[in-house]
Amino acid sequence: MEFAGLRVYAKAFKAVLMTKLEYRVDFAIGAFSAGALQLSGLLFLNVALQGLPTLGGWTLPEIVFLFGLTGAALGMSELCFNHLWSLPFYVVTGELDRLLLYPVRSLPFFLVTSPELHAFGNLFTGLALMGWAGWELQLSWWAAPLALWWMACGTIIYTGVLVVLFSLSFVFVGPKFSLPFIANHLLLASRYPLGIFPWAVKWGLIVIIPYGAFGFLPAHWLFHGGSLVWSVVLPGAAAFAVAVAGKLSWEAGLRRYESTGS
Amino acid sequence: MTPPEAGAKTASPVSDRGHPGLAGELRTGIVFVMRGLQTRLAYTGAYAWDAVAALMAFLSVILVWVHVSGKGGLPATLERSSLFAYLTFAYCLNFGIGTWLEFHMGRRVRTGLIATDLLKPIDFQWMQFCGFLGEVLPQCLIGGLILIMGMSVLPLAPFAGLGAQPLACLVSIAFAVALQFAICYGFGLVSFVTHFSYGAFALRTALHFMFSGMMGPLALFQPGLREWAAALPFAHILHTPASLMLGWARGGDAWMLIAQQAAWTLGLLLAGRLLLAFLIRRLVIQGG
Repeated sequence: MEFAGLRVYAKAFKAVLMTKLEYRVDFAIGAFSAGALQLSGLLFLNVALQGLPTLGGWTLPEIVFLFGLTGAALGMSELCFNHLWSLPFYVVTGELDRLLLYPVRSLPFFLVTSPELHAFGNLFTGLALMGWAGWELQLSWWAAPLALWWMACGTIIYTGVLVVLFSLSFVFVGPKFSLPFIANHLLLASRYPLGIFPWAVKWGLIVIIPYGAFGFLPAHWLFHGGSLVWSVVLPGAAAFAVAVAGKLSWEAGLRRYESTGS
Repeated sequence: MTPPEAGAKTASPVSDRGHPGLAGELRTGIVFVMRGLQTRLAYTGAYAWDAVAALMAFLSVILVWVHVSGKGGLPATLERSSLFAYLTFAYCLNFGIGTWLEFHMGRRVRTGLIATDLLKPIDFQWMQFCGFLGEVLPQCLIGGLILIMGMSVLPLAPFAGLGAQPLACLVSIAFAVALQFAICYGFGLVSFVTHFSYGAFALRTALHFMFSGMMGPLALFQPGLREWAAALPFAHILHTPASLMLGWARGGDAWMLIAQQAAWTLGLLLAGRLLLAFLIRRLVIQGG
């Protein structure tokens, strides 16, 4: 019964994606622009590293791997779970009513029904950067499935953090809600080796908003050694914890939701 | 109702009002500025989150530079205090002129409301500029307050330019605001040919991050990249006003930079008008 129900989500996702892919110019501009945004961060890195050989002991290819991993996780989240960014507007206008009437679970259905075209730019740029870094660093073949696992965990972690923050829009009602942008900017900050940050920022990005659990810590194990547990178990555990937190905060937010009656 | 006689001139809802004239345009512009301001101030609680979100955007840049400068990675020509004074000013100005103009214009195009905007007896570009001013004025005020707070913490010596050439600094900041509008307006016009506004916004944001000086003084760029940045208008949004504030450009050099700002602003505004005239012919409004 549950697996039959999953077809609904897949069909809804595919229907919206096919609709958006009709706009080829938008797809081209969006994908290119998203890739350019990713690469702008690398440009900054290039400028900052002119006077130093490494950044906190991390070489350029290793940091590029972090960039790629974060970019790919961001791209997957935007491709599959991007509808969240419309939530504040839906709360204000009461458009969540029809979602709540559908015979589906509200959160996953809401998440999958607005794939973004520019996500392909982030995703492919991220994968390309990881591929280049892996080639430069002569990584073994088993790094590839591990990187995909980290990317999947990163997608869930980032989406979960956004769900928690966007759930606050049920409390702070308004068409514009800037708090989730903090989550996005912190994700971009986690592209750099967390060891160069003050300890409060470093542990905040590992424990509180656990972006470091899918990016910095596993990559640190890959390049500098450490426990295999950090690289395999921790990302999954962090993803599970954030997903549960997201689910609970969404349900708490929905209990406060009031329709507009229109 | 008696039909009009053949050949009689019928009243047109637009031509009856006629063009409001320069005074009318200015008065209407003030109305749009106030409307933008009221819309912005309707959600005052959002300002705090906006400022924090903007700071988070800068967080990685600042922390990377803290690390690099602490490890001796800065060139000898740039002092640490000057770098962080620059970054503080850049953050405050960047927050002040942050805008979602491309999304606003895109939404009006997608919903068809652009038709009412284009039919108004007021210049479309002027109307967008006034709305933009209403949006950024409170942000500029808050950015200024944050800068004053920052100057109370940071050493004041790097801000030598502000004391030596205050008029030039203010004029440069004013042109930076106008140039930001000119660039965002140009990218916003892409909405006339696309369905989604994100691509134009993201491309403008990427170019802004790379070449405006947001990631650091352009003097730190490699020579080739520095030439690219100098050839594009983005550097005149953050880097030029910062150069004047910090006294890196003084006297004739400062006014030459302001002249370049003015030239880019006027050129891009004119290009925006020509582009709109071209795109209007392609615009299709959904009836109903």
